[in-house]
Amino acid sequence: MTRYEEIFHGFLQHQQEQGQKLADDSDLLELFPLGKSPAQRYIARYSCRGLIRTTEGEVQEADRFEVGIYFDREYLRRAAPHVLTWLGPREVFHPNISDRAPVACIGAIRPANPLVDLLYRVWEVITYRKKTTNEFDALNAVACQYARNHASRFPIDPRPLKRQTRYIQAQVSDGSARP
Amino acid sequence: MTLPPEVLRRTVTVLGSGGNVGSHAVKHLARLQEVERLVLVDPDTYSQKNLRVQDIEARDVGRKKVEVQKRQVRRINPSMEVVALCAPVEQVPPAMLRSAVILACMDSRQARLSANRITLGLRIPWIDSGVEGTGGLARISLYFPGLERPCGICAWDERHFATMEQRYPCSDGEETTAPTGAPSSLGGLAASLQVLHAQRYLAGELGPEDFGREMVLDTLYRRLSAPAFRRNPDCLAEHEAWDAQLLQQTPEELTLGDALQLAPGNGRRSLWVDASPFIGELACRHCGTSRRLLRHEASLLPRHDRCPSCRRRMLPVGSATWDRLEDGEFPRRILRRRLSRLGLRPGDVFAVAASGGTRRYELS
Repeated sequence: MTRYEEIFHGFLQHQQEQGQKLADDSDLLELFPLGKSPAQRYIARYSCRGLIRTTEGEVQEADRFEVGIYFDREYLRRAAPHVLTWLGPREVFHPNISDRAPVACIGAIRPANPLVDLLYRVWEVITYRKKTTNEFDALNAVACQYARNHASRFPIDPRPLKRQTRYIQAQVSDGSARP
Repeated sequence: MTLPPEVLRRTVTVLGSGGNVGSHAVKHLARLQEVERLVLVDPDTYSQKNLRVQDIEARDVGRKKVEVQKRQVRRINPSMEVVALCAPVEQVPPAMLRSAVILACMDSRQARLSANRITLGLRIPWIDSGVEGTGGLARISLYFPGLERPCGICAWDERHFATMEQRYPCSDGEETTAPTGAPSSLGGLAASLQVLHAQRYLAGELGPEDFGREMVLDTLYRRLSAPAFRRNPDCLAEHEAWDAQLLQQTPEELTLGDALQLAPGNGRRSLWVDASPFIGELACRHCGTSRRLLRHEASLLPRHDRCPSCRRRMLPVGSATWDRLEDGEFPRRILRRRLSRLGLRPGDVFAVAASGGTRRYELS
């Protein structure tokens, strides 16, 4: 194993741990590592609400979206556009996600961009926390126009990706004492 | 790709030969008696804006940079052999760049990264150059390959990688490099420094100990600095030489199955091309057309990645991209496929691995 392979192996291991931790702490994300561990390839399944457009042209909410993530051997040195693949649904309706090709744009992916960061950014896109309103950049121009006209509707899903823990201090009282 | 050693010793490769620095360097090299063969690499054609900052004439506008430079070398030194490769360095089969020394005159980090990889793999010393127009800075950096020697990216940190040129799915997949904005004279200065050092190396006046350092000339404040580089133990470049064995077969004669059999030992066998994953599908974000193929990325030409419907550039699909081709993962008919159909060309270096380790081969 070369030194680079050792570093890359360590990187993949850390990403898998962190990604799994996020998925464990989330009600909206499931993460499936593929192949031998540490995984280079993942399928991330989101159950947050986003938008799709039916064949009749009606815009509806949906709650199942999937992306593929692939860290090729060069990922620490070069982030290629094939890091992220949109797996479905094909009828997704978002300015940053193509409804014709398995392509989604979540902004610049730098070399060694952490998995957790990618997972968050995809969630931000699906729930319309992030969207481009520039039709020239958009992968779906109709969705881009829709996003401009319905800004008050976003985010589609207000729930956070990571389950929030709240500590509530409670006191049991018999009701006789005055507060 | 097999050149006699005496020719190889007198061969110089210029990466980015048509640019602000390269266009000057090529003419100096054409006049050197230590050089008898030049390999010029540049993917671009000259445009109107190049006239002000590069050593060319008005009639060269619209022509391929390497062809213009080749013609100029011939005019200066008709006996010099010139190989002109109109392609980005990442796409040139590495063995075609084999030479005594490589001069890099490029303005893209991505291209520098590739040059560094190839020079380490093939064990070729290289001299990088750069200019910074507003600061009036001209720089050359000398690197000698070796496991314990500093390479071109030993000094890089995450900021350098973060500013690497990138293809975005939402901008038609094109990479962008900002122009240096440097005047022709500054490019000429960097080129002169570069060629002077190359000449001294070819004449045997510079040895490996003279490499691993940089020379920065500040023309604004008239200062010169020459710091030395240090080997970074966590450098992201692979410093190991490839030591590729030359195969007698061409990519037309060898199938994937044959190539996998070259892996040492038993067990699961795999084949890969360094820094160039195999692409199994391309998709057009504009019209949705998709194309299935199986080629390594560096071999993709416009005829492969231009959309047949709308002529825009298609993007590789991640779920159909592989670092390595492993036996057992693909149907048998893929094993019968010739390496040329997988995009391997004469001069390409591929690696095969099995239980006995990794071995690299160069294609004839």
